[in-house]
Amino acid sequence: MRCEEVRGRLDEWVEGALGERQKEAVAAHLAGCDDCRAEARELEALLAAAADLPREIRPPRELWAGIDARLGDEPSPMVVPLAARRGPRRAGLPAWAMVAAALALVVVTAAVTTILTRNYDEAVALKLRRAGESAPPTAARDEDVPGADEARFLAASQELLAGLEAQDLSPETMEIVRRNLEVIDAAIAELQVALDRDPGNGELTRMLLATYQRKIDLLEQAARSGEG
Amino acid sequence: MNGQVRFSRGGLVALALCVLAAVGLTSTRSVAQGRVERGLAASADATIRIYNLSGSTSISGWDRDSVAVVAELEPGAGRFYMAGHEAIKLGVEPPTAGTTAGSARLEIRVPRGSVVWVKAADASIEVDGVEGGLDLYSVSGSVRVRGAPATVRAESMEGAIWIEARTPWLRAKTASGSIDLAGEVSDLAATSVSGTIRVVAARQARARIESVTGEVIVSGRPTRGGAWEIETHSGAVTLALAPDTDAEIDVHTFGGEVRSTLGRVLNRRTDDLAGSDWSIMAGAGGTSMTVRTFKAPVTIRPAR
Repeated sequence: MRCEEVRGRLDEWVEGALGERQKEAVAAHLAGCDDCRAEARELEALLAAAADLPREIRPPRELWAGIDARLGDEPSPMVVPLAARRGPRRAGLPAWAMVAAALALVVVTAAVTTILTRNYDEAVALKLRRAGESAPPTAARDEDVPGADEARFLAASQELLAGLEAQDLSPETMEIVRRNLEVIDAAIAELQVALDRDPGNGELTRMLLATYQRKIDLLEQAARSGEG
Repeated sequence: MNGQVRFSRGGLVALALCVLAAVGLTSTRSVAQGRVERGLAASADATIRIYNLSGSTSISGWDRDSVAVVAELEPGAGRFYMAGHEAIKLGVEPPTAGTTAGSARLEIRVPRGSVVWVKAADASIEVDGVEGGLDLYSVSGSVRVRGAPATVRAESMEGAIWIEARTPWLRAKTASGSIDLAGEVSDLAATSVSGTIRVVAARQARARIESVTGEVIVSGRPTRGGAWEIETHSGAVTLALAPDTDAEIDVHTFGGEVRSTLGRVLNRRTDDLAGSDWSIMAGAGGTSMTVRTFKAPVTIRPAR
């Protein structure tokens, strides 16, 4: 067998899914080819690492309760049973390549997070600077887009802040608002950095949205001072 | 006779004195420069809107169907006004909208069952003995409430809020002002950004306390069956509860330190990313207390 043929069957080889004759042929090739043997060993290590990952990551209780309530009993018309969608198996990336890609993604994410959080204060300062930059006034209202809630909170707070400035409140009131917005924005920046380190953490996401809500509350409270 | 009535000088003086006497006998009477005393008939459950930007507003409930006001106005404070019966508006109208050069001190008596709405800028607000709903707002003045109002909503951006009341529903909100709550409140919510929140636990069926950097201190003995939720970003949380408190206390913090000397720790789990989870059982349980912080220390101890 040639190297290309062997590498095309390596994922089945490590999974023990090859027939007897093919298994013997691959084994014979690997015995005499250092490159293919190294690749096979790498693949076995990747699969072993993948096997150590938790079988499932359950969302926190309170997050799941919200999702569960939204799901309801009736199947959504948007959801097509998997069996109905599964057609003939198409040739694509082999399983080991998918696993390798997933692990590579984890490694890259971890590396980026390490760099980002090497100096925690710098990362928070960066988040604060970004928060200060103008975001689009109207965020996309797409329930499925991750961060859509955050975008909506951002848009709402910018709208309220603009309304507050138009109300022509006293400089003393605006100073109180500014000081407290700084406190809230610093908290939001810290939560965003923490979420960068642990993107799937439902509790952190909930805390972030709750802190945005506090910002909205503050702006609404300030707006009341201008009401007659 | 040409139809005209002519008065002698003496007659004119007598007429002027009569007019002054008539004014003096009415409920509205200007006693001295800057001081106004005024009374007005009102329904027992009147809705009263009070507007005083600067100075102080003190309101007390009484068992009469009338509103009585003593207003002391500094020069530049503005003009006092009051009108209405079932819905009454009273206050000090500033010389220019939204600003005032002087302060006003209002002492107001209202029917005990009134619904009272007060708005202030730096004026303090004090309410005692009113049993209708209260909606009190000051930008930087303090807010104090005593009695048994039907509901309380108290807000101050920077001033302190102090409430000792028996009420089924209470909402207190500040930005940097402190909040002190005591009494019997069935449904309580207190929110601050950086202000300290202190609550004496009593008969709360539901309590929610939230701050960003403000400290939260809960003391007393929460009644069994209640549900408490406390959440801060970095404000330290202290539960200093009666030693015989019956409560299940769950603590979750991402970066804060948890210390407990009350009850038994049933479960403790720490993870670098997910943070720490503690479950503590005080007495026989029965009250649910949940504390969540991002990076604040949490201390649970018996009250001294």
